[in-house]
Amino acid sequence: MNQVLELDPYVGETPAVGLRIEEISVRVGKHMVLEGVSMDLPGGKISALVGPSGSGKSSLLRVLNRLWDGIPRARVEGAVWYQGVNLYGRGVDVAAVRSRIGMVFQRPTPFPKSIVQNISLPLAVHGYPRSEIADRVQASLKTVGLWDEVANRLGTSALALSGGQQQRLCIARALAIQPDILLMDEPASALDPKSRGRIDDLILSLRDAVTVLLVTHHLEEAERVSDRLGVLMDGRLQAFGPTQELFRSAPEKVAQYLRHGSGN
Amino acid sequence: MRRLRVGLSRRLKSGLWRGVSVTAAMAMIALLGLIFWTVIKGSLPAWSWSVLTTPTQGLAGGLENAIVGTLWLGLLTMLGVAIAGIATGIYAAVYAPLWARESILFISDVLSGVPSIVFGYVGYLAFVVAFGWGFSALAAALTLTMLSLPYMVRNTYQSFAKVPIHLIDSARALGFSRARTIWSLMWPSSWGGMAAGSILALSVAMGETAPLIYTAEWSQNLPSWDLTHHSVAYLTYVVWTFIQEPYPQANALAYMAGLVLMLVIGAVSFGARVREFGRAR
Ligand SMILES: Nc1ncnc2c1ncn2[C@@H]1O[C@H](COP(=O)(O)OP(=O)(O)OP(=O)(O)O)[C@@H](O)[C@H]1O
Ligand SMILES: [Mg+2]
Repeated sequence: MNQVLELDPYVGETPAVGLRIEEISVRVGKHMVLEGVSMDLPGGKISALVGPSGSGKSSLLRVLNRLWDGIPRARVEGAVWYQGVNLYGRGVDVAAVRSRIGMVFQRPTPFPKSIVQNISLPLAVHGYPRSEIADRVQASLKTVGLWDEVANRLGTSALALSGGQQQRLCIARALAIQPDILLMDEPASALDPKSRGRIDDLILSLRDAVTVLLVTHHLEEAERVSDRLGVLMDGRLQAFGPTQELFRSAPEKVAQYLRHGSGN
Repeated sequence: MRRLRVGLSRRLKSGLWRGVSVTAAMAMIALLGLIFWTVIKGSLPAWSWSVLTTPTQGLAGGLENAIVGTLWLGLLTMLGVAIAGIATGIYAAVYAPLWARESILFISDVLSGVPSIVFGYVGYLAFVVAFGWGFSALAAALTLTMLSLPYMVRNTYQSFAKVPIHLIDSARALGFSRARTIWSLMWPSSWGGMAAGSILALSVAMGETAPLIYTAEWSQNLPSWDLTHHSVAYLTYVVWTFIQEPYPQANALAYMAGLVLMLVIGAVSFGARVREFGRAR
């Protein structure tokens, strides 16, 4: 019974919960996408994940909220511990996992609905009472700094927003259902520099409240916002530790990557 | 440096293509005009408003029973096609494992190539005889449903498969169940495709003759609204049988039935177009 993740009402004041990733391997058919990845995401901290294109960064994020489920020929091995529960153990409620561990994708993915509906729909799905929904929509739009921009057109289509606004809406949508952990897959890479800066500020503002795992191609971004840094290469975690330390000294292969970057 | 002006040969070529396609479009319109002209000319002797309000009597009378019967069968068929087709299409697009999806699409393609008279015969053996419903609206509508199901399955499948994967992924990542994803995200954007599918199925069904002769038979009366054991009248029967009679007024009635059928199907498709047009803007 202790394997079943229960949907307690969220207690906002408790320190944010972390995540322990243990010997995770992902195989798609014969192709090894991730191999024996282990890392601890400390609660309330911002961890960044960098690595060359195709090294498995997105794949690792997909492990953490079980997006590999139902993908033909994909197999995930290992464990992910969250509040004492192995997310890959038996009897885990996947919808509950995903409500606690949110995800933001590289491209903004607003639903083709109104701005309000983009946020109220997930709230309704997770059973938030009708009376709370309007307040929560407003609160999460404020968190991402979108409220002032859209307050007078909440009923209009989210697709009419700019790319940066859409991405902040997607972050607001993920935050509205109050996840403990937010996975962000290069959330700013499709945006202009100004919107990118706003997203960085937003990520920094989440520190302590939410545990963040941020995938990025920009080493400077990783250096600026993250407390922890992981370097993934060819599906293996080459290094993981406090960001500043890693930038000062790291195994040769990693240091080289951190010096020269991925070039994209 | 590349010349900015379009060369003569390019202009000639594009002019030629334009000419060809405009000619083809004109030819299609001319063909439609010819059909209408033939049907209208043939039906003139039978024309009077009472055609719409009196049932057929022998080889004369009006078309009321056939018009109401065709609409009745069309309605039942559309109901059946919508339910079965949407369910099958959604299953294929969302739930089915690869092999099941491919089988459904393959079977549906094969079904759309089966001659309609074969459906009529199967419907006769199954519904009329084996189930014991006799010639009836239900037997006819189910036969028409089988026959037009492939169009609905294809359309539903395609409009669901068109929903972008990243949208579905982000719904999953938010903890949406599959049913919720279908209902809240896929259904709204697939609505147009499904409507188009059922209207196509409806026009196909209303234009059929052979399967109905086997399953609905023919009746001089208005439909009884009983689903079983009562034969039903329909326009294509009049077109098919009355045209072969040696009596001019029967021939005129056949043309008239064809005209009415064309107008009904035209109106239905036009309605669908107007909707599409409204959506596009
Ligand atoms: N659904 C899938 N099926 C098969 N292989 C996959 C799938 N998703 C990812 N892969 C493979 O996994 C490897 C890692 O891909 P992934 O998208 O995780 O890399 P990434 O580090 O996020 O790269 P990028 O920086 O370009 O986003 C690649 O070799 C890719 O081909
Ligand atoms: Mg990626």
